[in-house]
Amino acid sequence: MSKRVLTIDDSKTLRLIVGKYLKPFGVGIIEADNGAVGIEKAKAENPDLILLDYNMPVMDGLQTLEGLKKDPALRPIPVVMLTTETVKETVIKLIKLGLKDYIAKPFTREALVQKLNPILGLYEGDMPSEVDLAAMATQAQPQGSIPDKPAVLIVDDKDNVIKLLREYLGEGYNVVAAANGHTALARIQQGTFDSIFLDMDLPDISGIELYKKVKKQLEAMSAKVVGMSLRTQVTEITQAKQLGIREFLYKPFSKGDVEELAAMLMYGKSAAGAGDAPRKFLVADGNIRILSFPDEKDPSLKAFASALSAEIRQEVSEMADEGVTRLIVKLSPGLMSDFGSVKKFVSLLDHVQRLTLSVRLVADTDKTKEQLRQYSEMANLKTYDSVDLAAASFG
Amino acid sequence: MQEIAWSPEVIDDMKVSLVKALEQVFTTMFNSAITVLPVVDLPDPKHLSALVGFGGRLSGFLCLHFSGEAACSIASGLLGMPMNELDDTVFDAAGETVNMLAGCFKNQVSKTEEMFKISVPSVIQGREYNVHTRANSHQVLFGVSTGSYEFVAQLVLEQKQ
Repeated sequence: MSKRVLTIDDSKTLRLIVGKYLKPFGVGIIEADNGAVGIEKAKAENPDLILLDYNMPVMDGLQTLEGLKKDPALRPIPVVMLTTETVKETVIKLIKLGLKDYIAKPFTREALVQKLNPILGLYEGDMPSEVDLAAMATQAQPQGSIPDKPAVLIVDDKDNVIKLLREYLGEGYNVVAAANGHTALARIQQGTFDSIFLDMDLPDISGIELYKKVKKQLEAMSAKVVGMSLRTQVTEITQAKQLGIREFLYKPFSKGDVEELAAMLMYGKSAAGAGDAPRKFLVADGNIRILSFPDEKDPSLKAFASALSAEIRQEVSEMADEGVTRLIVKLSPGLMSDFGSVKKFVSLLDHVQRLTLSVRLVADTDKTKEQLRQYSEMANLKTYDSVDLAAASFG
Repeated sequence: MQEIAWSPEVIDDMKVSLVKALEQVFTTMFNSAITVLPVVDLPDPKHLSALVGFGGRLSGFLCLHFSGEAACSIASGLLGMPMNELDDTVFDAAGETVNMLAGCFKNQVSKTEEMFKISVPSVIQGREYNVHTRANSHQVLFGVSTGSYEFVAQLVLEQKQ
């Protein structure tokens, strides 16, 4: 599992440089522009290491370190200071507070990596050369690229709720948490999520208000929202349902409740096994199934994108169960119209591979081919110019 | 507290410390050597000035003045990506450069005791502004060339009474 580093620095430049220097090692970077936000992010993200600036507004490095070390949950996270502040007395004071090490600005990549290697285990033996690092950076998963697990955002101000949900969801999800509405807003601006567990009763902004603010963005990323409340909060539940929140997780919840809901949201498996007859997305053509992406302007595109991780995935599983092993996917620029769809599609391809199905991709326009090249995960996929050519290639 | 005698030699020492700090920052972060140019006028029209304040036994400020192109080059050098417009990223990069420079300069002059603390950086952008200093302050002002672009370094110091 890749390591994650929280960089707390008021300078965006410094945060970008740290990201650039650590990218070849596959390190995930979490950013905070001041100490207060940094402590919140440390609570929510539980990083493997914190890089902390000293000279910052809101809370300086000393106050931030004190805040981190007085919290029993955060105390074990190693903190390395990345700072221009190298006055001996100050450094001794920081080390007495629990600072693991410090790196003086300005710093080279070598200095940063060598200091962090004993803590993060970035490489074995000699430090990789600049040439090797450049190659590693190309191969490493870039920030914001497509992760291999569904992304879940939990928005709740209660630590125990976040902890329980993380535990119940398990290792199969990339879970990010936000302890209040404003942090959640920032998370939604920065990332793409498959599902959001949203508490209706947040301290700074109600769940309803938050949902109203981000509804369009969530729809654009095809994220499914689960409201969280007590069963007795009838008014909030009614309002949320009127706004479009269909699923609810009622507190207190059990592990079974969470697993059932997550499976249904991510993979379209209904616990009750009941419901309306689903629309069929795969079209049979002899012993081949064909999945065609709608065009960019097709009104059904949104529903199609939403179905990628649920109904379509289910249909692919069913075709495998029926003994059909050949799948043709006809792509369109509609697929690349939003990042969430691309992510779901890559996940679907993984699913297809796990089922050992033979799949052929058809890109019959230059625009589709061009858009494929923009995503590193899909740039090298072989495509065919027509469905006929793809079908013939099965032999 | 011993008073600093602001002789020409002391001012020269400050300049030497600042040049060493500039060399350290540009060698480490930009992989670039620098050349000190004769005293020059501030760029006109000015585009961007990044400064850090000092407070303590010594007070004053350290400021780097850039043309728009030089500021973009500074940001490109730090981030390793082309920057062509004066935007928040360029302002932040200029601020971080002067911040690192101030830290290095502080370490140069605070070897036996802490001479001052440094503020968070500020960046000023505009065309018709001037930087005025107090009459009893001491100033070091010189141009710097990296070979690709030039900028002006300005150090203003005074001793607390």
